[in-house]
Formats: sequence, structure tokens, C-alpha cells
Amino acid sequence: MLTDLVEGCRKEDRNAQRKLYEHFHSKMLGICLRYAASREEAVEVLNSSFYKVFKNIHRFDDSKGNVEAWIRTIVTNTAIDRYRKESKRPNTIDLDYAYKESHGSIAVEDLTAQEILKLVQDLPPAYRTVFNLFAIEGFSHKEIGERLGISEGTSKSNLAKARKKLQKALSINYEIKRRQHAK
Amino acid sequence: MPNEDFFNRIKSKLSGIEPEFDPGDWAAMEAMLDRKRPIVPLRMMRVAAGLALIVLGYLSYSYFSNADNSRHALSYSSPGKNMVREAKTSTAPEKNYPLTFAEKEKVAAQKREALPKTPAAETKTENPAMAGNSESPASFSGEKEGKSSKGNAAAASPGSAVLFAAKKQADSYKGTADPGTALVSEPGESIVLVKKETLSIGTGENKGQTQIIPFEAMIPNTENRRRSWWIGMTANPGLQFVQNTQGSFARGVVAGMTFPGLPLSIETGILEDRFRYAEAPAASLFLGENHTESEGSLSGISIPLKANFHFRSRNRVQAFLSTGLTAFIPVKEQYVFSFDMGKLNNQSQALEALIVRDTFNLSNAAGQESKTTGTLDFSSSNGAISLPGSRGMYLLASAGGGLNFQVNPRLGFQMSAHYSRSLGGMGIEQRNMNRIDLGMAMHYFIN
Repeated sequence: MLTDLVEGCRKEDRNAQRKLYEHFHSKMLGICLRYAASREEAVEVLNSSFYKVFKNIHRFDDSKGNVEAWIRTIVTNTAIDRYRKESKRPNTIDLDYAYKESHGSIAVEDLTAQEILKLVQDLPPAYRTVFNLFAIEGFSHKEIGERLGISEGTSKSNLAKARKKLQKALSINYEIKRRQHAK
Repeated sequence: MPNEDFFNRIKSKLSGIEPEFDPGDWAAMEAMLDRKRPIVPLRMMRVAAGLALIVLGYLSYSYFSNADNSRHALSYSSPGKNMVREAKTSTAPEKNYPLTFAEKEKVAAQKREALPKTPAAETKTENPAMAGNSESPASFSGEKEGKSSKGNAAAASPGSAVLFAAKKQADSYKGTADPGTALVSEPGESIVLVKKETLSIGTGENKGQTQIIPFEAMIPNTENRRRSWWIGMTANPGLQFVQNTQGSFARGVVAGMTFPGLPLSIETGILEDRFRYAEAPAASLFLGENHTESEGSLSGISIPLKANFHFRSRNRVQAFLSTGLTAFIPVKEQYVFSFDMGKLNNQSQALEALIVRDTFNLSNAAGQESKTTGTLDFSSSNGAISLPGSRGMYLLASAGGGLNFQVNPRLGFQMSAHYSRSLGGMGIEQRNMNRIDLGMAMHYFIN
């Protein structure tokens, strides 16, 4: 089925394009949401990605990989490109987060996926991007540095700050929830 | 909690997020697909703008480096112009040099009859330098091989000598000769220049001085770039501050890379360089006070290697500093001199003036003695001799800075100023070179 859709997209068949978009929409939007600060921004990244997919579908070689992996790569790269284009001096924010580490592990379990996604989206773009690439996509700091045009040290630093900020936010959320529950 | 555990917990939570399909998302996608691209893409317009800048720079160079525009001292108004017109209306063809020897002789005879009697005709054969005029064509082959004596360093065939005199009776005349060459004519061919002596381009207190090689550093804003290789074009109109101010021009392609995460970049390239200069005449010059001014021009290939430092910037304008070394390989060099024909005694003297003799005591940049040839074109008012350049290389150090304008993540332009100075010549005579360049460049990121 996917092969037919890809073939239809190669012929610029709008119906095939719609079906392919619909097929991968949820999964790819899930990725975009992690890199974006809002749903609107995520949809922009998603559509930019699919625009590239449709314009370059003739380059896709079925024998060398599956279309999902190919689209996923495009989506991730588009998200990174967007960050690189819009980022301004990502390392100038000096954070001083006092957090209770013990709350971090509890909070992750107690919060919903949507709540955690919101916390990730609230991270500054530089931290959020490094966090996604390292923690979710599994890139090394060296690879992240090359992709984002930053040094390995900056990548490590951004990840540590992202972790700190996330843990603090998780602690606060956990505390709020706990108090609400106590009432 | 260890990092890995913390991240794994978040990852497992986030992996379940798969929002439902919203038809509105597809509507936006469809609108994007239906959007037509502009007929002329923005990128193309920017490239065109860059090319326009380069063309503008070249035109500026052409204008300012033209002797008629930059130095009015070379312009004379006199009846000589009328005489040139008379020569043109004669039966002689406009371009005689491709003619055979016999044809030249015939045309020369016609011209001899058509021209008014001047002292030149009488003194011509008395002048030792012109003794070759009465020699047979066979004697010129020896001249071409550079075997002639000093007193007969240059000679012209009878036909070509008279033809030359006939065509160049203008009192405003600029002859050209290659540094270190003697002029001989070969029957039935273009006039041939054989390197005989050395010719010094600088004279007086400026002896040995000329100007430098421009190279435009290109420092794009590379912040947050995943990869930082770039290619580009550069065009540099330059100003020279040695004897006087004249235009110069360099153009070429460059390529470079930025070190990820560092404000440093390196670059190299290949550029065509052209510049001109003017010198006061040497006291020893044969023409004495009649020789008003001499002009040299040098062109060649520059191969730079530069290191750049760019200051951090929050906007699209970024300042930079650069320094490096440039190898300059001369390709062509000319020496141009002018004299007042009206003040000379006769046409023979003019011809002698054009023929480079040992009395000039001239030397070219390399001081090389190898035989070289070129064509003297009398069909234009300036005349022109194009000759191979010296074999060797100059090494130059330069430093400068400027501003870079990042048009978009892929394209940038910049303006800059550079000061350069020669470190020395390799296989070539040392020259002191000083110059300030005003540069323009356009660069394009490969990725």
C-alpha cells in the first residue's frame, strides 16, 4: 500500500499525497511537538517536512530503506533547521535552578504524557533541541555538535541545563498535584 | 536519579504521543503545495545582484586604469592628429604587419612618395641604430635569435620602419615595449620582440616599487551552521598609494570552511589580478625631457591562504578581521612610455625611442634573459604589446577587516578594506608593494 502511495506521490497525485500525509501525520507530528514550542509551530514543521518529502520523493529509493525512516529523517532535520534559523544566542541565559532531585523520578511517573510534553515544549529552543536529539533520538554530543554547529561542550552544557530545568518543573508540578490531592 | 534513567522515563512517556489527524493540517499542507514559486527565485535575484556588483567593479577599474581618464598628462593636442588622418587616407592598408615583406616594401614606397620630406628621411640611414634598415631580410633572423651587437640591438626592416614612421606621425604618441626586450621586425610577419636587456619598472626614488595583490577575505556568518563549507566570488577594486592613485581590479573564486563552534575560518581561492602604476621617467632615459611619463601594468594569478576571525553578532551584520599569505604569479607585464613627437627631431628618433636599446638601462621584474616575443599593434593609438610574464612568484602578507552581511542562511555579501605588503619574491626580484583594497564579495554556503 505504501509503495503505491509513494508511486502516486512521484506522479504528483494529490490524492496519494493526502493519503501519505494522513498515514504518517500522527507519528510525525508527535516528533514535531517535541521540538516545537506549540502545536501550531509543530504543524508548520510537519508541513515543511512533507513539502520536502513531496518535492523530493523521486529521490527516495525503496530498495535502500523504508519510507517511514526516510520521512522521519526529513522531519528531524527540518526541526533542527528551523531551530538553527531562529535561534539567537542560545547560551546567554543563566539558570539557577534549585530543585529537589528526589521529586524528579516520582514526578515523571505521576504526570501524563501531555503534561511532560508541555514541560519539554517550555524549554528554551537550544535546550529543547539538544534534549530531543540526545535523550529521544539517541545522538551523541559529538553528532549533536556537528548537526547544530555548536561544540561538544556546549551540547553537554545545554543538556545538563535542560535536565535541570525539566527536573525543577517536574518537581513544581508534582508539588502542586500533591497539594491538590491533599485537599 | 541517573541521567539515563531520567531520560528513559521521559522518552517512554513521550513516545506515546500521537495526535489525531486534523483535516486543517492537510488544508495548510495543500495550500503550501499549491503556492506557485516566483518566476525569478529570490536566490537568483541575489546572485544577479552579486554579479552586477562584480561587473560594476570591473567597469570602475577599466575607467580609472585608462590612461586617458586617469592621467591627462599623456594627452596632447597637436597637428599630429591631422597627420595621422592623412596617413589613414593614403593607399597604405590600415594594418600592414600581416603583409609579406614584398608587400610591405611596395606600400612603403608609396608612403615615401606620399609623405612630405622630413629630416627623418635624411637622418634615418645615418643613425647607427637604424643601420639594420638597409640590411637584407636575412640579417633579421639573427636579431630574432638575440645575437645582434649592442649597437644594433634593435633593427627594423626598411619597409616596416618607414611604415611605422608614416603611421605614427602623431605628436601624441604612446609606444609600448616589454621590459627587457628589444624590438626587431621580421619580414612578412608581425613585429617580434626579443628580450635583450633588462628594464627597470620603478625609477628614481621609487625604483623597485610597485603595488600589491588584492585578495578579499570572505567571512560568512557561520553561527549555528551544521556544516560550514562555502564557495564564492569576489571582486575587488583597489586603490594604490605609491606614485599616484590608479584603479586596480581582482576577481576570482574562493572557498573556505569555518571550524564548528569557533569564530575562526580559513579560506583559499584563485584570483585574476590586474593593476597599473605610473612612474616618473628615469634621468637616463634616452628621450630626456621629452619623455613625460611612463606607465607599467602587471597582471597575474593570486592564490591566497587566509585565516579569519569573526566577531560574534546578534544580527545579520558581522564584523571580521583577517590575515594571511598570498602567492602571486605574474602572467603579463607591460611597460608603456610616451613622448612628444613634435619635440623630437625626426621620425627616426621616434622609432629609436620605441626600440629598447641598451642606453635605456632597463630591467624587468624578474631580470630574466630568456627570449620572449610579442606583437606590437600600431592600429590603435596606444599600441600594445602582450608578453609572457616573469617566471617566479611573490609572497605577500596582508591584514584587514570589514563587515559581512548575511542575506539569508545560505547567501552573504560583504565589504571590506585590506592592507597588503610584499614579503619577498621567489625567483623574482624583490619589490616593495603597498596597497589598500576595497573589496566586495559574495558567498554561498554549500550546506
